[in-house]
Order: sequence, then structure tokens, then C-alpha cells
Amino acid sequence: MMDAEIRDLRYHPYDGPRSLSSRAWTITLAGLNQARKSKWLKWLAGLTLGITSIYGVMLYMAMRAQDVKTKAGLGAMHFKHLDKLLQADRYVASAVIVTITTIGFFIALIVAGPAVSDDLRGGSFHFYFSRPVTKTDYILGKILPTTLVIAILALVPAILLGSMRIAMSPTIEPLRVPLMTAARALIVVAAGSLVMGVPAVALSALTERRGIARILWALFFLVVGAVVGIVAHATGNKQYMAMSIDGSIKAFSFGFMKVKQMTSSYWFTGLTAMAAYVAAGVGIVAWRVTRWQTKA
Amino acid sequence: MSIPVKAENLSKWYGQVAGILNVDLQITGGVVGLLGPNGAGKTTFMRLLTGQLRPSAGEVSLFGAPVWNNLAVMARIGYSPEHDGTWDELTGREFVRLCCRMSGMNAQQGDKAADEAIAKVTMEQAADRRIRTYSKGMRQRIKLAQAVAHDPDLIILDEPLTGCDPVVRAHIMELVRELGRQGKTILVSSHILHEVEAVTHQIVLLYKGQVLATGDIHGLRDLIDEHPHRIEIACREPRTLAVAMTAQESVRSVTVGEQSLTLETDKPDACYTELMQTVVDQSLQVDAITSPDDNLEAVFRYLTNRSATGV
Repeated sequence: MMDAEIRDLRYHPYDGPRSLSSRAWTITLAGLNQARKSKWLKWLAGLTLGITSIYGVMLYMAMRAQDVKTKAGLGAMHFKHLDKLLQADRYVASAVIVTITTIGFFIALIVAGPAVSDDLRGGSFHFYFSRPVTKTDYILGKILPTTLVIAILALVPAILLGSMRIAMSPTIEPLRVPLMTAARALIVVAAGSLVMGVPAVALSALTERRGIARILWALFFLVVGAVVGIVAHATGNKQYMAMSIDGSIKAFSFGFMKVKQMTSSYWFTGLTAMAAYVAAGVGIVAWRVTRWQTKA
Repeated sequence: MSIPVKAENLSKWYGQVAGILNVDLQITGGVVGLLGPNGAGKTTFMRLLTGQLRPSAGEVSLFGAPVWNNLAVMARIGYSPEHDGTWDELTGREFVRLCCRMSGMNAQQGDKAADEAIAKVTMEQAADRRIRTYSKGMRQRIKLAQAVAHDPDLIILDEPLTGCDPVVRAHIMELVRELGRQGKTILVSSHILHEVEAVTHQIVLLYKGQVLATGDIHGLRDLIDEHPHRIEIACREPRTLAVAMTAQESVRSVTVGEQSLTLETDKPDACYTELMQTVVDQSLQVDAITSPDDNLEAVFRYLTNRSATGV
């Protein structure tokens, strides 16, 4: 037998909390929730594990060989090229960079493509900007999902290989060396993810169609890379290679992680190019919102 | 208590084109219909009210504070745009919950408020389906749910009835009336005039970016003195009544039908008095007296035509 009850169905004003703090995280979570639904992300996560495994094997072999070489008392003088190959940090850096620039490219394609273009097509700006959502909230909320997804996947090799590097560190090596490698790898992940995410989101702010946004991103990524490669080859100046999106990440990351590579001495050029890509990307999204707020 | 909506010398220019021009307006509460032909500036006005557009000149304030860049005021607004586009990949429930959180509610309160709003618009059955599978009418309802879920003080609905079937229309109109009774200020734009009339008699008529008329529909009708006012009388002896009314000073013309009579007058009040007197004096039987001009459609048509022709 149910207890007697008369429910009060009258209108009751909402008197719960209302926060006016940044809504960026709310928008970010919505973006992440959307990204989570993509089946492609699972494949990319698997691919990341594959890349990490390959570089893990290479790192293991390099560290074992380094160990054998040290025990045999062989100096660096006679094995200059071999020493380069046996540099353990190279494999940690390479795994992180490859994940950011290849897996990150596809993540940007999937997640960033519809980020702003879908809002433009569907008129969703009305729902954001008739609420206590600022332009900054919106820009952050659109950039962060792509950046975070890239960063989460890039953290896999950074953490696994960084830990492996620390665990297999030779006894004669001070502990701070592998710890610094791991810390630098994390900074590379953060900076690289931002550089891969922001331009892709910016290109999605230029069109109402997600397919076109994706094509623009693919063309931008590949064409700029090809052009600077040709210019670098024609002029014999490798500094140009540090100006494309992936080139800038490589130059900065190898330089920052103190791994000798073709463009690692141009790490500052790479860093400047990365900053320029992020600034331009943020500027484009901000321009799109401002334009919407002033035009019919 | 501060005025819910106040626009002072409000203008919005798109390059050389004026979307809204020197609008001075106060809305003191209740349900108000925002009317105007296409291109009159209704959507621009609503976007200015909701803080989505920055005014080119003048100011719009809600509850005593300017709305532009004012997050505290914007948290008190609920807006349902005319656009169909929502987050198609989200379910209806996810969409309304997200909107609640963007309006400043925390996750727990937002989820509860969203579920209540979904129930209000009778969308519980379809709430967990993706919005891209929704019909036009369902999209309208889910948009309405997100506009009212966070319990805003000012609700702005741009064409909320478009695409809805008659049952849903009636339900939405009743919901609007109910929100009005709860003390909310509601601005409803629609081109279906009789539906606006069904929810309110208070209107703001926009025309070419300017406010052409405001106030009660019957009051507006009374202001149009020079426009002939028609009175239709259904009766058994229309000819007898016609002869008697022709002699009255207030009557401008008389049209006799089979079982009805139409009077045209410049002085409706005097005409009604004389009509009643005549009916009593001559012991005539009258079935109904109606005024086809005393509705929103007629006032709207008359005012916009008058402005277009510059009369």
C-alpha cells in the first residue's frame, strides 16, 4: 500500500547556485564528449601504442648497447656515429614527436574539423553568446579538446618511455639526467599538442562545412611542409625547415631535449614559428566570433 | 523594481544598412509579442537584447543594467533562436544539460533542471535520441526547453511555433502563458499573428528597424481613428436594422447580407451605443456582434500599410 502523498507541482523559482566563472571548461568537456564518440580515436590510440612499442624496443636496445660499450671501456672517440645512435633521449624525443606530428595530425582532422564549422553551420553561436559565455571562454573551449586529445595520446610514449629511460638509467649517470629527459618530454607534449591543435581549429573557423575544414587543415599541414622543404633545399638553409608546423615542433623538441638532429640547432626558430601558429590560430577564431557579433 | 527591458536610442548598423534605428522602448513585464514583417529588425533586436550583438549607438539594459558584456545579466536570459541548428551530435538531454551548465548551474542542479524542462515541453520520450534525428517541431521544443531550463527572468522566443503541429502549438502557447503567470517577462516573435494574439494582447510592432507601435492591441485599434472600423451583426432582420442604423450620425456605410449586417464607422464607441439603443427600441433579435478589425492582423496590416505608403 502506498503512503498518501500530495505532490507540490507549483512553480518554484530556482534558488540554487549560479556561477559566473569561466565556462571554458564546460565547453571543453562538451568537445571532449563529442570526440569520445569517434571510432577513429580508438584506432589512433592503438597506433600510438604501436609507435610507443617500436620506440620502446629501440630505446631498450640502445641502452643495452650503451651499457655493453661502457662495460667494455670503449670511449666515444672511436664510435662517434654509434654514440649518436645509442643516445637514449633520441628515442624518447622521437616517439613523442612522431606521435604529436602524425597521430596529432589525424586527431586534429577528426576533432578540430567540426569544432567551429559545425557551430557556424548550425547557428550554435546563439546558444553560446546569449549566455554568460565570453569570447575567451569560447576560444579556449574550442581549442582545448583537440589539444587535450593530442596531449593525452602523446603522453603515452612520454610517460612510458620516460619511465623506461629512468628505470634503465646506467648507474654512472646521475638520476637528474633521465628525470630531466622525462620532464622535457612533458613540456614538448604540451607545446606540440597546442601547435597541432590551434591551427586546425582556426581553419575550421573559416568555413561552415567540416569536410572543407578538414581539407584545409590537411592541405595547410602538407603544403606548408612541402614548400619550406623545397625552399630549404633550394637555398641550402635548413633553418627554413623549422618553419612548417611539424618542422617547428621537431626543431624545438630535439633542441629542447638536447638531441642532435638536422634542425635541432634551430630550436629557437622552431619555437618562434610555433608561437606564431598558435597566435595566428587564436586570432582567427577571435576574429570569427567578433565578426559574428558585429555582422547581420 | 527595475524595468525588465529598456532600450534607449538603440541603433545597430550593418555598414550602410540600419538593422535597428533609434529605438526607445520599455517592457515592464508579462508576455509581449514582437511583430513585424520580414526584415523589420526583429532578430537583430532580439540579439541586441540577449547581448549577442554590440549596439552601434544607444544602450539596452535588462533589469537596470546594460546587457553587453554583462555576464550577471546574461545569466538571467533564456533565448530560443529561430535557427534550427543545434548540436546535432548531442542528444536532446545532453544539449539542455550543456545549456544549463553554460548558464552557470552546476552539474547536479543543471541536470535536474534540464530533466524538468524536458518534461515541461513533453520531450521525455525523445530526450535520449540525437538531435539530428528530430523533426522540426521536436527541435522547437528542445530549444524551448533550453531557454526555460535555467529559470531565467527574461525569456526571448524567436518564432517558437514554426514547424509545430497544432497540438504542440497549443501546448507551447499554454506554456508561454503559464510562464507569464509565473512572473516571467517573455518576448515572443512570430509571424502567425493569431497565435501571438492567443498568448498576449501586448505587442511591439517593428517596421524598418523602428518601433511603429506598442501597447495593447485594443488600445492600438482605438488610436486608429481615421481608419474605418467594421462591426458585423448577425441578426434575423438585417434590413430593418440597416434602415434604422443608416439614420445614425456615427455610421459611415451599411452593407446588408442575408442574415447579417456590416456597419462601417469612424466613431466605434458612439456607433456601439446607437446600435444597442436601436436594437432595444425596435425589439430586434441579434445573434452576435463581432468586430473583424479589432484583431491583431487588421491592426498590423493597417499600420504597416500606412507606414509603407507614408499616409
